[in-house]
Amino acid sequence: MKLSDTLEGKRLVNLLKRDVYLSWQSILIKSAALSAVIIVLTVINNMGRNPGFSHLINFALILFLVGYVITAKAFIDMHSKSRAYEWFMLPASILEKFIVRLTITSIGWSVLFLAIYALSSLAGEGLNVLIFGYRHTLLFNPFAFSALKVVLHYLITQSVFLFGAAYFKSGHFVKTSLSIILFVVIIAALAVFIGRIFFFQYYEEIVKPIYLNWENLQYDLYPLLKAVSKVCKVAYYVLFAPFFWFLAYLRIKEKEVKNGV
Amino acid sequence: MVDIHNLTFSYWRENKRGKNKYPLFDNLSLSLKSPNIYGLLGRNGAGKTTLLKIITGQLFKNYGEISVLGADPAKRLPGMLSRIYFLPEVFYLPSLRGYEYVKIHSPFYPEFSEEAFRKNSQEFDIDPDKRLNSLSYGQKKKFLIGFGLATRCSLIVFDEPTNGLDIPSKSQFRRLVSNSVQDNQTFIISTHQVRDLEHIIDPIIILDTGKVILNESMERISAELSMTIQRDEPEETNTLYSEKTLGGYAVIKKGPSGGEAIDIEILFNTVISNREKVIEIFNKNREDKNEA
Repeated sequence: MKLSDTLEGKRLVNLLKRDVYLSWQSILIKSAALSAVIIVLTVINNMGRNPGFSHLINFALILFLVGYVITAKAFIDMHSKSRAYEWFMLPASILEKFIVRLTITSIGWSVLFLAIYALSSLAGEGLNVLIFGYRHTLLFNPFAFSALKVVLHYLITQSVFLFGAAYFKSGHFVKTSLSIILFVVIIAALAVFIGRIFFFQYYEEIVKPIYLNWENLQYDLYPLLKAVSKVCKVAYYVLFAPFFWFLAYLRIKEKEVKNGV
Repeated sequence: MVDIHNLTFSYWRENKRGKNKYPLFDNLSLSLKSPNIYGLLGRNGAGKTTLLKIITGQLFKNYGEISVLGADPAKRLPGMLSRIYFLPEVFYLPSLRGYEYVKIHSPFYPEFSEEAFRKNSQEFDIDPDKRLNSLSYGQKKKFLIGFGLATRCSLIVFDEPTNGLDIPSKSQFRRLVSNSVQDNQTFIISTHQVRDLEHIIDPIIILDTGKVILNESMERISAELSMTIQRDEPEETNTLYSEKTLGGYAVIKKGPSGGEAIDIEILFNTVISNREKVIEIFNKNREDKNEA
């Protein structure tokens, strides 16, 4: 198979153009709505001189929540009875179609939202000065390391929702969220179970049967915990997203246009 | 162009007892060559749409070999997809103006001709400046047919293209398809409305019980079968099929046609009701020719 059969810049650009063209009106309306929400939040939080207010927290909450919802709908046409044929018959490879949707829902959304938040929060703070005569001390800086770190976490974690978008036929966001919750509960239960078996001496059996004496455990097993932490960090920053991207890609590759067949 | 050998395909249906496997195609073989406008006929549930979806890479075979434009359609390679245009019976059009649709979709088809699209739109009386979702079902279909023909793809697949078209549009469709077909092109038109298309589809493919039971040109069909209209009920032994029509009986007999065109609807009924005999006639004469 030739590389041009799998990945070609011109086709990627054409696909990206097509997707943006088909949704630019919806993007514009949603961006305006988000902008209004950010301005209102900025102004409301200024009224009582809320000392705990942080643009970064607001930014992160909206980035993650809206981003996950958008990502969960990334392959909605692939699951649609009337639209699936159109998407699959479009002359581009599955990898190109996947890359375009990944780019739009990850980098595309992050960059757009950084811009929307920066401009809207600035507008909100301008209103604060006009209305109240004072504003929040810290303004939102889209180039700050803290903001970019939030974006990095979004780029990593949204891969799970991208997989959910490819895997589930409908209710992508809810089903993916429930799957994550179920997975976390199982892992937590498993961790407690394993902990009880292998580290039983650190449990204060009589007083609190499930209470783990974390301080003692940390002290005794510091090298092991450090190694586990390192492995987890590498897995999260390097392997987590590519793993789910790969699963999503495979799912799309195997998807057929069944429509009752 | 399209080569299918021993295709096996089953689908799963859920009923009260759970999921059951239903075989649809069993060792189906088919070879399509260009330039031709193939008419794909079959009863409801014969698998016409499924076969088209397998050919275009939307569904995957269970077993067998398929080659479409020299590639495996299941791989959905862009090189192959850019040479196939598929218009299903139920289609989707985004909320765009006609020219916008062309602007964002035509770059995917290297042979796309703006000039041909303009001519097709004029022929169908479709205004590309109008919003596509404001058009009627028939107008939307005409827009997509016009676009599909302008792609100049090597393989153009239409599933029930004349469904929903008004009477003038049906003849416009016939004219456009007849004028559009080029030496390197193959059309596959699946239809129940054979009367709408009987003057353009040739060869005829008839699909029944999971197999291709006829894949012959009209010339060959006329050489093997003849159709006559007679007043009295036929009794001759070489009558394959007869059907009461207005003013007599349409009779299909074994033997070359005396010049009268064969009605495809009656041919279809003949093939379906006399399947074994028809297969035998075409196979025997093919063997005789091969021996000669």
